[in-house]
Amino acid sequence: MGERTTSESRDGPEATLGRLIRAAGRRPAPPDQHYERTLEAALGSWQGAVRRRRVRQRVVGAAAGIAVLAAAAYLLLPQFAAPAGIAGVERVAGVVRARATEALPWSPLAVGTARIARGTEVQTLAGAGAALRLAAGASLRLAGSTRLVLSSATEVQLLAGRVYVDSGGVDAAAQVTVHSAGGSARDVGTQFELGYDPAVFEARLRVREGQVWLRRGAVERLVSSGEQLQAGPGGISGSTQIPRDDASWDWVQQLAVPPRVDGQPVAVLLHWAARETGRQLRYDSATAERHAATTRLRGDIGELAPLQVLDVMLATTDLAYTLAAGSIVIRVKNAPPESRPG
Amino acid sequence: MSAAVHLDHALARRLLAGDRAEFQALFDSYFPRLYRFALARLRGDADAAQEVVQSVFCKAFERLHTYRGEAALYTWFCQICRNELVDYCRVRAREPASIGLVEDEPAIRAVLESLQAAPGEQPETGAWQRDVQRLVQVALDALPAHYGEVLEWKYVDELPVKEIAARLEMGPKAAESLLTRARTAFHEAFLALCEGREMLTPPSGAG
Repeated sequence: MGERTTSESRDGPEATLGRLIRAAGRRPAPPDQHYERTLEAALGSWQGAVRRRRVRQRVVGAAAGIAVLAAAAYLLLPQFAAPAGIAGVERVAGVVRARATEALPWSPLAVGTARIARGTEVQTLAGAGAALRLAAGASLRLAGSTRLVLSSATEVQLLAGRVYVDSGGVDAAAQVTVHSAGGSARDVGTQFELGYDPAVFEARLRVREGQVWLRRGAVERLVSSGEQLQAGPGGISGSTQIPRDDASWDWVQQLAVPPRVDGQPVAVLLHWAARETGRQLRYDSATAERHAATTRLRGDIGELAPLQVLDVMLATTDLAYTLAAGSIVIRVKNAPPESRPG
Repeated sequence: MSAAVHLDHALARRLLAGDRAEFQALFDSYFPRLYRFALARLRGDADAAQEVVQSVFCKAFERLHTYRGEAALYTWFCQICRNELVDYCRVRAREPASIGLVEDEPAIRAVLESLQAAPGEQPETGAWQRDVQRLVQVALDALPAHYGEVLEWKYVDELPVKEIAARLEMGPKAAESLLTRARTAFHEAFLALCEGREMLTPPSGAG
């Protein structure tokens, strides 16, 4: 027999509702075979939707906000551990500060900050920069004169300036959305930069890798690797080409965070350097490729730019590199060139 | 966007991200409610209801990336269900059943008394009682997740609050609080269903 709480009286409104529900009786359950048949069909449809979403790369521009959504499709470098909290600080250059709310004073933001709380506002002054690792796993880098709010582990409000998102190399478990007033960008496993200038209500999207749909209002454009578009009050315009290793991406490299490589094969470092510098990784021989896969590194790297890291770390190995036509070419030191099969 | 709809928007994103546990929880919550929704409008044709609801889930997942949180997610599914019902009936040249509504609050007690009364000898009285019973169940189906179940556990199964709390994996105080919210929500839903409809003053001879 059900109990009656002190809040109910025999004739009170709650008791009345209770008797009404009791009188109506239990809602009939669907037959098991109908449940199973529908579940099978729904499961297939849901899985299809998930697959389509993972290959669809969209940039959505809305009048009320810019959203940058990053989600990776594969795990490339397992040493990028997701930070605790909604974000961690991996690198800081110049003056970078944060505050929990508008009412509180600014505090310097330091590397190794174990946890950035939800709602924290982060600002870089002119000439400064910061590299954050979001809990979702993606890298979020702030150029100078940038202000944003970390709304949650997966949402960021860009108030002004530029952010760079690299969603490659992380688990495809969560998406990160960056909102700002100007346009929205959604990507899957790409590298791109979104900048917003509140003075002119204009956003600029540059895609370094992958493809992104840029939408503002009812207009939609596909932005491919190496392309740049503007989104402003007049609509989407200004398609120009920008090479993946163009000097304008250098600010991103200055904030690159080297992976932990102690005990890892050289190949891990090479893939990271190629990705950060926007270059292809090539080996001039099968021997060089074999060396890269089997030679283990010792020690870790400080805050150096990717090519400086290669200079330092490859000095301890039998490998060397040269830059050629958008590639990093790896060779064995002092070895004659050999032709590669196929 | 209300807090509840904001949660639904986040749920949709998790579904699209491939969260299998969320998919199963959503299916288990929505399927029986949508099934009963369709069943009532298909005059009890169970096979037709299954076919329609299957189509609803398939179309909803195909379009889930377009869900922007304009309404609660279940409401969004219901709208798809309404459209599917119209198409289903049109293709098969059959008339969907229409659902009547009951009177407003002052009539709840009269409705209750009539429900509790022995079914009248007149066929109209029995039909009226069945309509009201169905509306109670429709109101329960329209409530957010768990509310309908909690109210059935409490008033149909007469489970103590302690057991309800155990089923929901929460403390007794939290369960009591949930029950209070569920009662309020049911009251509002039932009143909303009752508004603007003449009937359902019991036909003469009932209660």
